[in-house]
Amino acid sequence: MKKIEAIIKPFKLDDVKEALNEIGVAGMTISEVKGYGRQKGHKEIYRGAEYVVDFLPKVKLEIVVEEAKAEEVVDKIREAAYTGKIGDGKIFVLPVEEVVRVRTGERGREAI
Amino acid sequence: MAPTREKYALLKKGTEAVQAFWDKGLVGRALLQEHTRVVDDFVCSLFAAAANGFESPRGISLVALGGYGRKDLFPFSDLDLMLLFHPSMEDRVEDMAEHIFYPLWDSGREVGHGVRTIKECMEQAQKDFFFQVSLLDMRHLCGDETLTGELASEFQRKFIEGKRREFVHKMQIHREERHKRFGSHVYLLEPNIKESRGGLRDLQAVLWIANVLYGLSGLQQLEEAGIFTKAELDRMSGAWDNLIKVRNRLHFVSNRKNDRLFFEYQEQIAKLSGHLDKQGVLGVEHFMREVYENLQTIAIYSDLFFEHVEETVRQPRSKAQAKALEPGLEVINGRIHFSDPSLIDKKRVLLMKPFAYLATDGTPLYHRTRRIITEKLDLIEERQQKSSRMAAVFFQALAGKYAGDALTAMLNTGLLVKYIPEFNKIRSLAQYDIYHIYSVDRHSIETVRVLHSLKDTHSHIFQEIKEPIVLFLAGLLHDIGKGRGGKHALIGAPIAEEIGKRLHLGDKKVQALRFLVENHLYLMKMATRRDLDDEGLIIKCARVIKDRDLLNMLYLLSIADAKATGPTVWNEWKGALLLDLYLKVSHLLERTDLVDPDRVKAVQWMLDQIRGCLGDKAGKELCQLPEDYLLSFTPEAICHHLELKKGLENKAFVMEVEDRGHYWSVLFMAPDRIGLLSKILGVLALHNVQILAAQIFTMKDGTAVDVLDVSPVSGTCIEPEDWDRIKHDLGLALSDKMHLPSRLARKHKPVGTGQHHLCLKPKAKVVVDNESSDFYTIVEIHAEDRPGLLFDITRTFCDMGVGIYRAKIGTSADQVVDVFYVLDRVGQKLTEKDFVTELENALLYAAGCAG
Repeated sequence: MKKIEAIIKPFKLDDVKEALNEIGVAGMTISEVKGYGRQKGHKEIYRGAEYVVDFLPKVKLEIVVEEAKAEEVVDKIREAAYTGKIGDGKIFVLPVEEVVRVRTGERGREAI
Repeated sequence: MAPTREKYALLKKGTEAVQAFWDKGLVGRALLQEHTRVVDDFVCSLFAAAANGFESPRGISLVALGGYGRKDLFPFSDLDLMLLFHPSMEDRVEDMAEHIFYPLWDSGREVGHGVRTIKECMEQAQKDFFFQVSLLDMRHLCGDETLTGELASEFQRKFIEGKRREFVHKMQIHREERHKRFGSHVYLLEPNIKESRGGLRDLQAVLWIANVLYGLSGLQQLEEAGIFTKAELDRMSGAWDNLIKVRNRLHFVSNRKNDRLFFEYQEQIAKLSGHLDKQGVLGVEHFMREVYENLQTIAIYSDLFFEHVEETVRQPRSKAQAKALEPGLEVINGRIHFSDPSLIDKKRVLLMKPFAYLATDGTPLYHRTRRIITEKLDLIEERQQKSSRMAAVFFQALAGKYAGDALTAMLNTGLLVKYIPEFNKIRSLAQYDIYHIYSVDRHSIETVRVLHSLKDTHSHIFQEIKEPIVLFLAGLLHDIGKGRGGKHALIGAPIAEEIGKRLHLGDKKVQALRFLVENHLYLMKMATRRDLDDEGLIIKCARVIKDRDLLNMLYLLSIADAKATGPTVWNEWKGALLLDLYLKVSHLLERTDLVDPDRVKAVQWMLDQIRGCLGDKAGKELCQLPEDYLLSFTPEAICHHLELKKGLENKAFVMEVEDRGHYWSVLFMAPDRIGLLSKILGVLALHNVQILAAQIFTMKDGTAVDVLDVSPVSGTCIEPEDWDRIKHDLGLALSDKMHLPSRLARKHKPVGTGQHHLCLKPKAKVVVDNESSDFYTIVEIHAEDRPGLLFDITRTFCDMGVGIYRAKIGTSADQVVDVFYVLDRVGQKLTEKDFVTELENALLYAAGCAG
């Protein structure tokens, strides 16, 4: 099993969600996150007031899928989140040792 | 006699008992009493069986306490029972207790049990205020009635007589603590029907105090004593009955002792009580509206009562000084009073005045003042609603620092709805979702409150707003279209306009108000759902908003609206997105040319024309086209470009040449990449073609469209077959098989003519501008024209990894003015100081004579 973490632009969330739904990924965890990478925050003085944006708002998706499906999920996310401009985000793929469904105690594939 | 099986079974489940009563048509207080009667019978039969052999047991009695004592038995209420005994019966009592409590425990009911002598009761009461309160409601069930009577009088003597003030004081403290714990306003998403503000406990507290302080029992006596009017009593009594119904159903559906109206139960109870979806409002929203109104009624009247009580128990100090505010109004003991209520009939604006004072310095209204206003609401007729004097006072209430408090009081007295009847639609209107914590009316008032707080946190923007009253009014009315089905912002706009006119707001302000209401969701939607790096989107936003003042108000309204919705709705994350949008639109609005209505019309006309010639398939292509591009060509030309663009699917580039008589127009299209323009210009220079003018665009999908007006350098001419050679060379250059710099160097080698000597004014000028656009760094280059100049300039950009996204190249006389919109390798503006200096120097070098 693999965990896929994707940091994307906020306005792309709906597109990515839709794209993943199409390939049968029904569950994911979504959080509002802030950070910076190559694309940095900025400071601006406008009409006498200082506006500082240290960290840029992004959305983080976390999805756990079977190993065989990971590649497809990554491709879909990339396709849907792409604008070609800086700050489009990053996708991380991590190995997952075990999944347990809290309610039933099911493990592994069944619990995804 | 042992209890029958039938009764045992009936008692076993509160839900079953209640269901049976419902079937008989019992509801509200009547149901509770019947439930109590059934339980009484059962308990007393247990007592009788336990006391087997004693005709009338002396020295032992069974007493109901607390809610059970009051006959308030809900399906899962505790049965608060106490076995009271005289010390002489100590050896009998244990056996009795077992016989009574064991079957009750077995029946599955929650039983609060106690076995005490009168002395032990008094000791317990001394330690525990709640026990005192539950003794207030004690009721003799069976056994030795004299013994119960003794307990009652002992309790009165020890804890009530001479200690009324203390008791009231403790009760008030507990009430405040309870409100703190369970929420201090009634519009909680998941209110606790018993403990929340306005819940059954608040009403109970009124009755306890009435009992202890004035010896009154029941609501009826409160009316008789003149504490409440008949109308007030009816409202309270109705609300009470309704809340009892809700609590019964709540116990029923949650199948346990639960008094919190959890989200998951609301829909179920709404159905159970026959609330259907209608007029675009969900049944559950109708239901919750009713619940809130009932809680609100109890909250308002218990507040009035407690203020009244506070007044009667306050230590008589020196007589309070009255401070006159104006004829008819004064402040006594820090509360606003009507000095002569009869004045109101002649001068109705007095009904609004107290709120203006409250808004200005926070002085609350005396409880009698609030009641007088409610009693006299009928004085607000159409004339008052339209009176400009009244409006001026209302605006004071809206613009004062404590506007939130003033509006809340105005809503609670009923004046707000009477004055602005449209508000009635959203009064107590619930919103069935997980993030609105207030009903619509409270949320609207909360929005005004937050707007006032933004004066401090966003002072720079606030100061610029020309008419803050429009903003406050928009805060109050932004959701006025809710509860009518459909899109509330659109529906609310004309309603707000109507109200604005009625309040004599003036035409321009009315239009601004209308705009704010109609678009109050716009910025937040754009900020969170759209690409803020898309210049076209920002231009669109700027055109919708049109005006800096409106943008400022809309921005503050968006923040206030979100903050007033609930703690989860507003966060720094959303704030950062909204700020980004705000700043970008602000900048654009300062460029008046972009929002020029003629330009807007022209763009629309172009889009319509192109749609006309391309048909349905145009949709996706059209949004790829930057506005400057649209405005630079004829619709036919653009349609032609789009047709040609299809060729890029299997070719590296598309080139088309058109003879325009004294010059040629050359069109290139290719997927953009850094250095593309420089290669095109290089190849042209190599073939003795000079650039007269050029327009460079990049579509949103990254296709570069370059349109160049060219002519042969003097002394040469271009034959049609030359274009084939150019095309061929371009193919080589683009696939990196031709090295243009060396070829051009060889070509322009100063042999004989010595072109360098002709360079008389070698001064070039380079300006890097990062201010004018949020999206690109704009580089302006002024230079003396010479062959290969443009190639050198564009190659310099390429060498430094700078991409050209848009450019305008023009030659006037011998002076070249080139404007390039550029970004660095990763698509960011060029902001690093050192890099900009390096680029400037490089461009100066390139644009100079050296080449």
